[in-house]
Amino acid sequence: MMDENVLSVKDVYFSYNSFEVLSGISFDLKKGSFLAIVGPNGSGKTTLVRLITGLLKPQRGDVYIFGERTFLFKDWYRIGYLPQKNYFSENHFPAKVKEIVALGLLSKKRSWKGIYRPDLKTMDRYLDLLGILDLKEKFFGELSGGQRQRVLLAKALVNEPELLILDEPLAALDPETREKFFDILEGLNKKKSTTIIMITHDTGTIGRYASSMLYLDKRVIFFGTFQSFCESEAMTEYFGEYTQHLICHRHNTEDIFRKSYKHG
Amino acid sequence: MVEFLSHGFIQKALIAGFFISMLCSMLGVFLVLRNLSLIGDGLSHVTFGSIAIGIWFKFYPFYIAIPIVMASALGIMKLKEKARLFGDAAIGIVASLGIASGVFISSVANGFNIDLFSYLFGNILSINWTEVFISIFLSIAFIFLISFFYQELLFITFDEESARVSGVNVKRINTMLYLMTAVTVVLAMKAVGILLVTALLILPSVTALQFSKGFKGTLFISSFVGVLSVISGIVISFFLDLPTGATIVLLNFLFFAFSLFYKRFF
Repeated sequence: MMDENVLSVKDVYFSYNSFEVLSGISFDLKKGSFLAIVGPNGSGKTTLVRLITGLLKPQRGDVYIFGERTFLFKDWYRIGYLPQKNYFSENHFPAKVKEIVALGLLSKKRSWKGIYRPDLKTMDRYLDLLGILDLKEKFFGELSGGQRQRVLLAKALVNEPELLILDEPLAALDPETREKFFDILEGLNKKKSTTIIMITHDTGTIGRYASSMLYLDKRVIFFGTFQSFCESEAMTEYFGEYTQHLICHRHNTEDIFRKSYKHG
Repeated sequence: MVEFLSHGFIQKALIAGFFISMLCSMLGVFLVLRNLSLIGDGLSHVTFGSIAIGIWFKFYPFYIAIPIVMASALGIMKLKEKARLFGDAAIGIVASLGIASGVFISSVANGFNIDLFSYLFGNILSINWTEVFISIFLSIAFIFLISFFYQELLFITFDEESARVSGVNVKRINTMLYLMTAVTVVLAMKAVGILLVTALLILPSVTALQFSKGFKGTLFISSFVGVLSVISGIVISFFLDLPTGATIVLLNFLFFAFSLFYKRFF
């Protein structure tokens, strides 16, 4: 069922208590897509990702990953996940970088979960790719925010997932690391056909890399290519010309809503 | 020293102390890092209530305490999950229930206060061979479980949400951790008493966390500190005629103070 789609979200509703966060969300994602999920704060982006990853169960509708309902899905090794979390509270966590990255291999292991030579080679390859091989023996708590984010990305990638889900991964990264980060994602997306879902406020950069965009504000406002968003008259009508222009001309959505609020 | 070791009660105390302290120290690392440090305290309060039930119904308290404390540990877990309570609020609720039940039963039954209050301070020197064998068996079984599920335990300690998305059965691992903690608290009660059980869980692990040696290294140092303090506590308390449980805990605190000093100056 729905084999060609990596992800299918079918008429999903979700509320926290009586507060509706998502209503009637539907979209499909094909293998090799790079989807940017954007929208204002409180628009339900993280809730949607939590529904996709099976951390939450929809009150209505269904989410399918690789053709399987999320609560029946077993092949979690096919998914790499980088949650939105403040890891600054982990300053005293005693694990080394290599121990954290090795956790990413766990979903592929069946019985005794030792780390063997081929695992170490794979880990080194991804640490090298992310430019943090020299940090392997360091403690996670000693690292800067950007370095921690790269370690967590290495953990999400080390399993060589088919679907990579990233919830606001750019927050702690400086512009140079951010560009490098996008280059790595682009490489995975183009060369390995890794499907990527990324929540971001940075519409400026994401427009250059993402093949499609989901604009969320408790419901799907727009789903399609970034180009078609910018050319859509319906979106001009919805956002107003000024806001649409800001989104399309590489600004940050947080700034956009602040500015458009002032703009009237 | 040979004469000291020839005493049957010393042999039993050293053997049981070795295994119980190793288990407490290893579990403590996971509990401290998951902000569950006070679970030992909460469950030890429940132990007080369940010991009262055991004495009242004339059952061997050890056997009554284990299932009741295990059920309470699961109760704390469920309260956290279902009632969306923060960790220490759930622990507080179950702990108060345990201590109130103990006081209530001892008052209603009238007449076994001395028996009950002897459990508050424990006495590892009075441990019997049955308790020693139970301690050895359960400690080995739990250390095996910790080794077998080491990666899962590390993963959920670091980030429960990511662990869940990686297919780790978080509920099963959490249940295992809570149940192991419950049984360990009952075992440790004999060593240091209900009031000081938390120290055996927390102090060796916070001491180990001062030395940055990786996660496995932290488990190893924690076990070493725990075992060292229990063994030396038994020896010192015997020769200086001091209360064993309190000596063990004070030694644990000394090691912790030393680790802070070490971290500050080395």
